[in-house]
Amino acid sequence: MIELLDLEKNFYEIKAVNRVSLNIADGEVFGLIGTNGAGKSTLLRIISGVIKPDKGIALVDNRPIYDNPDVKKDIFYISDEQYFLPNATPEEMADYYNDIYDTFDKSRFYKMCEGFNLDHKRKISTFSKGMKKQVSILLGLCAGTKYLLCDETFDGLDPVVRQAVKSLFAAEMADRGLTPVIASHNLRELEDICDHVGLLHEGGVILSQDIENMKLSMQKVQCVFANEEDEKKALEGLEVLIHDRRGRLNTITIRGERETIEDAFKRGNPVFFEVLSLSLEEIFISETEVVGYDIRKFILN
Amino acid sequence: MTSANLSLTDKLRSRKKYISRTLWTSYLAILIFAVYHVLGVVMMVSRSMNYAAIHPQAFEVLKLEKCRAVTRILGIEGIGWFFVIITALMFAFQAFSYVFNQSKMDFYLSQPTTRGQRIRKNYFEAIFTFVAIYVITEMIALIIALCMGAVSAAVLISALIETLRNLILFLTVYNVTVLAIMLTGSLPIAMLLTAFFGIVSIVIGVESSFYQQVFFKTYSWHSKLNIWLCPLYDRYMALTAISRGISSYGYDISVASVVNTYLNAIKFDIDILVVGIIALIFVMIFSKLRRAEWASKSIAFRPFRWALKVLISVLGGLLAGYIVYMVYESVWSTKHFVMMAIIMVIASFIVGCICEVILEGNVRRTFKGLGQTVMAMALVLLVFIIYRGDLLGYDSYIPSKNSIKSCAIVGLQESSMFRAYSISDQDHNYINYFDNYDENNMVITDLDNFLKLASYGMKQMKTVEPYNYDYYQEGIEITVLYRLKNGMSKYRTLYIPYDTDPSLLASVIDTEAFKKGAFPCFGDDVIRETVKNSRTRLNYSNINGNVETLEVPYTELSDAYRQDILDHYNYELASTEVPIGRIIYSIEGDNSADMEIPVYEEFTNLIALLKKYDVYLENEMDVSNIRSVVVTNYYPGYDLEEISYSDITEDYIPSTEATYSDPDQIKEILEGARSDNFMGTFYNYTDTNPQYFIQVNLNDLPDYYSNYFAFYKGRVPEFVVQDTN
Repeated sequence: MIELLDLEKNFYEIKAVNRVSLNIADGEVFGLIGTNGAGKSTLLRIISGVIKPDKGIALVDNRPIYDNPDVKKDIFYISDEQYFLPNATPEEMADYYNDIYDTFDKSRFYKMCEGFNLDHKRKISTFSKGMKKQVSILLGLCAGTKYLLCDETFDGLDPVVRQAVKSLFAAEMADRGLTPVIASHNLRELEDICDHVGLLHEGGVILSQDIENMKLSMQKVQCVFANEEDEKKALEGLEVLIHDRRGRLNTITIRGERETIEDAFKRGNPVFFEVLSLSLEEIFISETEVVGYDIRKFILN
Repeated sequence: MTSANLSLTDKLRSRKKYISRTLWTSYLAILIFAVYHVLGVVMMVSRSMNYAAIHPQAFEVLKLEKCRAVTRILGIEGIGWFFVIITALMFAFQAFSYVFNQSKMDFYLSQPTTRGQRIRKNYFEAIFTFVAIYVITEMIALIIALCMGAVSAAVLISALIETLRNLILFLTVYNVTVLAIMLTGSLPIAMLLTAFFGIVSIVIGVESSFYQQVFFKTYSWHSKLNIWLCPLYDRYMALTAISRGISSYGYDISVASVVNTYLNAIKFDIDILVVGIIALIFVMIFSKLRRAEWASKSIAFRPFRWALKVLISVLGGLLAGYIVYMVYESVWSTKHFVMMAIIMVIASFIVGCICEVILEGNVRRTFKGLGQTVMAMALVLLVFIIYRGDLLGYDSYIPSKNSIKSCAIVGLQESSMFRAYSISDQDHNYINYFDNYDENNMVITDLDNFLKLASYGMKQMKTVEPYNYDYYQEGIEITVLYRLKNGMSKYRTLYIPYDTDPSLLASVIDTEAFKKGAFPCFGDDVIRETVKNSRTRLNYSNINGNVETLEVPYTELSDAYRQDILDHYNYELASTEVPIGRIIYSIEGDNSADMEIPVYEEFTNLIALLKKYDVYLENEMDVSNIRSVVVTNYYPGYDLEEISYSDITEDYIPSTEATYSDPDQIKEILEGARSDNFMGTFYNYTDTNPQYFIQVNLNDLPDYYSNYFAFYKGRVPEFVVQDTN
């Protein structure tokens, strides 16, 4: 388990990480979401032991991370700009990591390279951006570490590869309890892979929750009421987060479980109503507006 | 499996991997040292052998030549240090340049290692790699040299010493470069900082010396440049000292000559080592303090950035002052000091702005960090005030008696009368054994009298205006050397007016310590040892002509001269008497030498020697022996016995000449004149008229054998005045 408590990191006058507290449970996919400059990469660098926090505690399985090789043996970090040794081929990189991680599986790496149609004897510098990312991910998976930290790793992968990688992640999680931590500014990419997400903005955590819980605890209702009295009756006792009217059509985002909301609307006798599922992006827009962020300005895609 | 358990093959494989991955410049280093060591030795030795084939040499000579050829590549004379510096720079930048790049930092520091482990691994791997490359290529070169018959014990010692020296140099340059890398966040700035570390001591030393020259009257040109903690300068100085040492041993290349030569240069290597140790300590400190996130910053540590900017701005301001002085030197006056100060301050401001632009990489940041720029301007002004006001008492400096080990008067004419050269050096780098004889040999320990004289001369120096005509007419300049007990040497130039109490000067000059330190005949062992099989020639000349003999043995001449100096030379003689003649003695052979010996009337031993070998010329002038006399008047239309030189307002006055061949006129001219040949340092010229110059041409001799005379004051014949005005 990764535990971050009151982490702070300043780069001179800039607060890159501001009192962040997060728990990342083992065996789940944790998504770290935020705009550019939100502090995602800094947080991952702290978790991977590259940089030292100014304040706060960062623990992996109850052990401090910074300058601790024993902890780092359990972590593989794929940074947003991956570095490969000069003129290296995937084979040489595997060879390099094989010397570093006791758990590195070279034969598996070669097999995966074949599966992804990557020539492991070709110089990485001649690969496309997406192929380089694939090499990094495969190296990370074959390192056999407990934690795999991915910074914007899925950006630039084509849908087929992305799906394949997700499958590999799922398999690794099932087989050996891999815990991927994926940072991205793209909510849609993380929606179908993450179990838990943390939203960062300006160095701070806005929220951290299981996606399923989020989805269950918030609903979007499209409805038409005959009159205002019916509308009042229907919404009475509900926590309305967003209420959008277009003519007689209301689109209302409400916190609460689906059954509770359906029962309430039935009381109001609407002309028409339908409870819809919210996308991760819609949940974040709603949640962040509640805490005062005009998230439409910075949520991407 | 730990590295200790690895087989040799695995270790070699592991090293190959490391080199391929993180130190590929090693391949370049291998090539450089293979070419320099192996190819260099082969070429140099075969060159010697080819030379011997064309110009037949004895086996022993050829063997020595071949050994010299090897030592020029592998030994203390070698220039391999240049490649060592290049390699140290390459290795340091390659091993540690990852700290400039965030993605590399992510890559390396996320791996299961500590920052310290990674730095240590890179640090030592680079050193081991260098040592391996250097030693292996050197061993191959030595084996080849052995096969070519070009190895001796001296060669091996020389190569061993040079290997150790180069290792020290590598470590130092490597540490300094790594330090620069640890203090910076980008490659260009790290390179600039490395260069700055390389030259900052030289800049400070040169600027300090320059300001002493400009501002202080007692500054002496003998003062050594005070440059310490500068590996490049040290290595250059060591090379110079070693070249001089090697040349002084001539053909001889023995273990003793190698060791003794090196011992003369060892202090420079110690200085290099000290720099290396200091840099290593700072590397350890700053590598611990350095944060990964500082990659791509210009200077990683803010306080250091400020200090660096201030220092560079101050040095820039001082350099501007130097340039101002150089431009206006010929017309320098007090008002120029004001201009100098203003330009220094402005220059430090400009340099501060340029620093800011470079460090920020942004021209729009020109006026940022004004606090440091203003501080630099204030410091420059403070330096100017300190020098201008002599707040540190440079011109009043007289060391306390307890702090002095010994003293000397240096730069004496008497000391430069002997020259002995080695001509054995293949490059014909002649070395005069008697260079700076007085500086190296005069050891005055009677400090009371010496300090009295120094104190008086220092006071006089501050009251006169140097370098005008009267300055040279009314006294002499001497340079004193204080050798302090702390190992330092301090030089000061003093002014001794001719009207100084003679006893003050006599108390120093009449001593044996002064005489033995001023006259090289007391330190001529090198000539005495080598003169036996050489051709010698003695020439004696005076106003009546010159004579020559090949018969006088050097030791006999030297013994007589020594005795005369000890018995008869003193301040009274030196300041009032004119030599009656001059001996020129020359030695020809592998080690050549020549010397001039002024002969005074009191030098009975020398005169007896000249008489013994029948080369003495009577001192009484024989006018019939004179072909003509040429009198030159440098200031026609003026009488410098009546007016001062400073009263002459014309910029250029053409001199006039008159030639006399009438014996009566010649007699009248010479009766009012004295010989101006062979004068010593302390002769009091106030008795002579400086306006005229007399050249006496002798019968049967070309003009370059002429004698020179000067008129006594008030003794210029009327016909000369008329003829030359």
